[in-house]
Amino acid sequence: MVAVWLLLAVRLAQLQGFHREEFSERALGQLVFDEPIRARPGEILDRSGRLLATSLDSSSLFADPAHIDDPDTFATRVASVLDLDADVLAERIREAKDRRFLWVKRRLSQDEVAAVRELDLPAESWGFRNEFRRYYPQGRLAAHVVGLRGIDNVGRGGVEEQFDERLRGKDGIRTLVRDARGYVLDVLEEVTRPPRHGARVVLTLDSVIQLYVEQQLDVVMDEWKPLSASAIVVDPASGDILAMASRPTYDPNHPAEIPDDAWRNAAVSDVYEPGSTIKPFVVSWALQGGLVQRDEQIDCEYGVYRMGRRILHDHHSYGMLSLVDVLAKSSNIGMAKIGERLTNRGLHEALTAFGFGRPVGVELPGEVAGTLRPLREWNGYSTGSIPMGHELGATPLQVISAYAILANGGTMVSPHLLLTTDEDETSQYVVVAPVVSEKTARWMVSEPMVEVVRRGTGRRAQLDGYTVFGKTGTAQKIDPETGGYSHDRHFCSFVGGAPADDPRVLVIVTVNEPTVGSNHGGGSVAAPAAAEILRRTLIYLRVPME
Amino acid sequence: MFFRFGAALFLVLTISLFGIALEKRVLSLKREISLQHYRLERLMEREARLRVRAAELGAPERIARAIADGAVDLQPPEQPLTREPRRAPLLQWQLRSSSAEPR
Repeated sequence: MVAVWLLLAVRLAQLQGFHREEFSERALGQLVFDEPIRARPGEILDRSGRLLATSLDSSSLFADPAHIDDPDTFATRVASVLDLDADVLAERIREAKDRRFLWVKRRLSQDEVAAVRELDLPAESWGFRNEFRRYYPQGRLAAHVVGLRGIDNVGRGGVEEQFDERLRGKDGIRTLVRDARGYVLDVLEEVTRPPRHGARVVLTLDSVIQLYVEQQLDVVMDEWKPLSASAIVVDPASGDILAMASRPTYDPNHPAEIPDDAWRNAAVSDVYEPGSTIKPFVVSWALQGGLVQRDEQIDCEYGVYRMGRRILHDHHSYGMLSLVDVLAKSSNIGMAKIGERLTNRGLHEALTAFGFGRPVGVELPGEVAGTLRPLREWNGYSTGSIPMGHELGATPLQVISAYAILANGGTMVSPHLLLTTDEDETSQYVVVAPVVSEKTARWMVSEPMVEVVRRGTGRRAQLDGYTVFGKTGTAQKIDPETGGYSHDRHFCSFVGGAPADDPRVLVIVTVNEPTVGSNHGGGSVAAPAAAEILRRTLIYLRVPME
Repeated sequence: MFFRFGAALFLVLTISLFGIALEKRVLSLKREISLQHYRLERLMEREARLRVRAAELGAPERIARAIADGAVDLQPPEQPLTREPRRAPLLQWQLRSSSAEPR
């Protein structure tokens, strides 16, 4: 009797003394458990409040393999309504037979949910769990800017990736008390942590202008069958990017169908030799430094000019050209002579001042810096090549950013996509800095760049009712076989804006290697599309005709 | 003695009943809070779905397609800005009748 009591006393001491904490924790674990409260990812809106991305509740189907007696029957029945491979599903269930949880299919449609319910499967073998499904009501519109949110609520590409943390929010935690059977007895509200829902991000994009851009890029793709194309529309005064599109593109609502070559946003990642579109910056810098005069005549040597051991050619033979005509007729020899006056140091300063060789800093992942080699690597060749847009690489965004400086009276307002968020008021990051004088910038826009469109290479960008300014660019691409410049592979571009006396809109269209047609100049390939985008945008923004 | 015992018992009973009533009230309020959280979630979901529907109905692409296809009966302006034929964007154009909506 005493021994029994002694044994019980020892056991009591063991349970209450030595293992007290362990058992307390186990009891508490059985009694109290934490349940996450889902944070709803934030919406993405355009500047007018049109919805570009949102999240909707959807059901995901899971199985409890430990409670499935016949994996083949279960898999066959489920696969028949969910468009799955029954054999693969059965194998997955068999492999996970010791587990209590296995995803069968996530983010089901309403019809699929109803079909699964109608199967009347054993209650303990399956269940639904609610998850958020990202939905893009505008489909392909601005797909590269918006990006997409993956199945695990992680942003991939575009604004979804750039503002992933803000958009995602933070899940909360609810602490529940349950009985031995698992029924909830109480919610401990005092220790509940509410979720922080994702912030609402408002972009500078305008869906209507974006649509115009997308439509024109489709026209370009149909007509010229290029490898890629892109277009950007900017308000030069505010730096707001009103539209940005890239081809090939994709529908973010169907991520499984996205082709490999469609992921890249050509507007921020296509690096090309800007060609003649670089010329206005070189001239502006030379004017700013007093190295050329506005009324100066430059001898263009009738199309042939020797620079050291190199012989430069113009597409047409020109004699004396005014500074305006050097740009309007896009004379390489005239530009090379301006380059000689600036010297390599001045040319490097000009390109650096206009933002080449470094990322613009737009709120998009994957923006590249382009290529601007250090001055020490430049040589005598560079003096002739740089003023005609060779020996450097730039993205379409860099080129339009540089043009925005001229269109904005010589002051840089860095292009940006973020208008506001509901999180804080200081989220927008814009750099404002003077680059050239207002006098120089206004003259460049209203004289040479207007003449480019009026009687130069950009004639096909003319519009009724608006004075358009701009510059065409036709850069030869490197032939991978010979390593030299190819004669049939071109990168065509046009950048321009209107009205010339007070630029409200600036647009760039770039077309990478048109494969059909014969005349692959920027004035033929890119300018008509840019003009149509400009025309529609100006009317849409109710900019009065002249 | 009996009176004192009865009074003490009554006091204990009253406090217990009051405690039980208070506990029930707390539980009921907690239930109400949970219900409100649930309702809020449902309302947020409903709002999101309605916003999606509104976005789909008012999508520029859908409206532009309807106008381009001639599915919307539009009346030209009395004083057009240009003499060009009908070309987007048709800002000054108006719906000819209120029943004409994009399909």
